Amino acid sequence: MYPRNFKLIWPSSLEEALEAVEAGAVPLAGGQSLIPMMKLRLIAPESVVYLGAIRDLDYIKELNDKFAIGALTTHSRIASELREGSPLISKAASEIGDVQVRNMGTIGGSVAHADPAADYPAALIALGAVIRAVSKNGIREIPAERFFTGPYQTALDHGELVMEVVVPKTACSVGYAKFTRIATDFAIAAVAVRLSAHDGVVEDISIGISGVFAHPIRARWIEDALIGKKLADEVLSRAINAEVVHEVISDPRASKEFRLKAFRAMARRAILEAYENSKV
Amino acid sequence: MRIQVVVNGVRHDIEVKPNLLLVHLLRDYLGLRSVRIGCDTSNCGACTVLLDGRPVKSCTLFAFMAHGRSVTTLEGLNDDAAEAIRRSFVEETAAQCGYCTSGMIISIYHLLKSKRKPTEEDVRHTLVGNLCRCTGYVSIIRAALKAARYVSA
Repeated sequence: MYPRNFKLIWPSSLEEALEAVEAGAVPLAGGQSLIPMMKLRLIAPESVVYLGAIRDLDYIKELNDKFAIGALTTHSRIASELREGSPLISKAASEIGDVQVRNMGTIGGSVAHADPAADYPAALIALGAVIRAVSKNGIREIPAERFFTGPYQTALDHGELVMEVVVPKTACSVGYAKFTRIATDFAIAAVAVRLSAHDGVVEDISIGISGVFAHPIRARWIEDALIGKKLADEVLSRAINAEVVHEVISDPRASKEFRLKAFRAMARRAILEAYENSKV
Repeated sequence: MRIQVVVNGVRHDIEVKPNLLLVHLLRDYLGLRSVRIGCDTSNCGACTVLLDGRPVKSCTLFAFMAHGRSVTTLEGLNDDAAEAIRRSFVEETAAQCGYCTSGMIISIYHLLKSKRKPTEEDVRHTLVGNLCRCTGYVSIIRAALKAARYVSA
């Protein structure tokens, strides 16, 4: 399958890339979502600007209690280099697609593409990560919780690119659970948890969810039900089984009812994983 | 645009259209027919090649993305590890129709280069992105583990 031909813009700097994006060119990073979409002719852009030409957006920088991850850093690199420093983002990166996809796909591309069932959003929301967007007007910080606004929709404005993603080094305990039909598929439900506990009592918890709703969200209703409590089975069950006000999606991979069950099972698994880790 | 790319150790300077995919550059321009087009949707891994030493799906890269980089296909593998995989594939009957085999070998080759004594779990994890519709994987996994033993022997 050939994509329709297009005008290729090969930028020599971020400024040149931003100008092209401002003028309407579609940004191409690792291409693992964009190229399949172009091959299927779901989109046929007039012009494409190749961000891979800008090598200085591929980095992981340590800043005090955080890591700044450049937009063009591959999932493979994040999975292997942040395993100790920020295990939740590393785990999410290692769950994406397969080896070949992780070697090309980038965090900036994945986040900007904003598939509602992608692995990163759940983890970024749970971590309280910040997406730093750049445009000709400067740099803007967007909390992950407000970044994903709809299916394949983000808080990015026209002319803005993801420049880097800032994640905290996790002193807290984390958990991640994902349910898929087959190994390489997107999640039917994925839940990421960051938790701190003292003597078994949950002091702080944040939960990110992908795949279940029209866009990734933070599960505040579960968090609120768990803070200040020991996670006895009935406490956890009540929190997880509470009514969900958001509309659960239904698609050929899973009905609404099945997806809700999968979500509850994954939530239990991820919360208990983080809770167990907090005791070590 | 004009790209410079090293394929199997040979430097090429080629004019490509933006929408040319790497798999077509390798097969149709350079005649490297070990690189297969299977699903053509980034699932099956029959088109797997090494880009700067790492496995990627050449159906899901534009040719221009290989500019300034090196590509290795099955034709370019000729060291002891490649020979060990070839031998173990024959001994374990790890190919039936053979369509997935080049991609399988590229992925296994990269595993053996990055991990001296891979476990069965490592092999399974490595081959998530390579589909085989004939042998059902067991013989392929067996061959990969045997090849690892040949290399470390």
